[in-house]
Amino acid sequence: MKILICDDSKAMRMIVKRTLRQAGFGDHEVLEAEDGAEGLAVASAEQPDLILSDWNMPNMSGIEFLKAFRAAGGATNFGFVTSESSVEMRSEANGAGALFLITKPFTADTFQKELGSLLS
Amino acid sequence: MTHPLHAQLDRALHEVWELMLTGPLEASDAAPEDAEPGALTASIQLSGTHERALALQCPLKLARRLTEEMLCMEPGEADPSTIQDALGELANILGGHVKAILDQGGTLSMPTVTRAATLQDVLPGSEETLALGFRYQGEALRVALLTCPT
Repeated sequence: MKILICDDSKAMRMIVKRTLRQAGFGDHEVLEAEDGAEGLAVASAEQPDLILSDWNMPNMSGIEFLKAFRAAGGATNFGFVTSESSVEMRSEANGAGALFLITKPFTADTFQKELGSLLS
Repeated sequence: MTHPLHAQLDRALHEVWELMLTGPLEASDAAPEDAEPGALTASIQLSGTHERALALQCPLKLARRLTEEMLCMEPGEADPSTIQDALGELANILGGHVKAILDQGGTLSMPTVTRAATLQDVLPGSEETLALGFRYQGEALRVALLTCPT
């Protein structure tokens, strides 16, 4: 399976990759993008099986990425990994087609719980 | 008198710390004047019913240690851009927690990381609402919540 990690922080992309390994998902191919615009391009070109995206990013935010991806017909499982998780954000994310919203900082247990059924 | 948000900010920082770093964070009375010249300041602005900012200040030496711990790097492995990125992300995560505590709606800015002498250099016109001092592995760390001009 291919997992696309979209976050403007290279450090956070490294932490997400490490947490995926710690959660037992280290065998999957990981793709990276550093904002929503690049994420949209990579998602269209590479057809990942799961997209993990930050919310607050330059150029194109995570929610704009999700909406544009869904509008273009993208059906890939999509979840947010973000530093905020207000009720409004969760509602907007769900309404746009996100499956989950993981709040930073996270643990391998959180990844197992949210991603286990999608990656097993 | 202790500021009403003191305990919540302290708890938020410890929660973030325990999940991202390995060692204990100790409370310290280090005054702002104790900050080393050339310390790094990571800040993030919280817009909403109030304009606020959160700033995290520490010496470069500590910023490097934090980065290398967060990213499981060898000592000396983190380059300056990685240190800036990691410290900014730490401020971003803490900003998300503080935004939830303040419950003021609005948005978080992108974090910025600068090498500035004072918080006024980073956030001109801001007023410090609350500041907490800590020590981590013997180095001073300071977290401040500020009110910013609208």
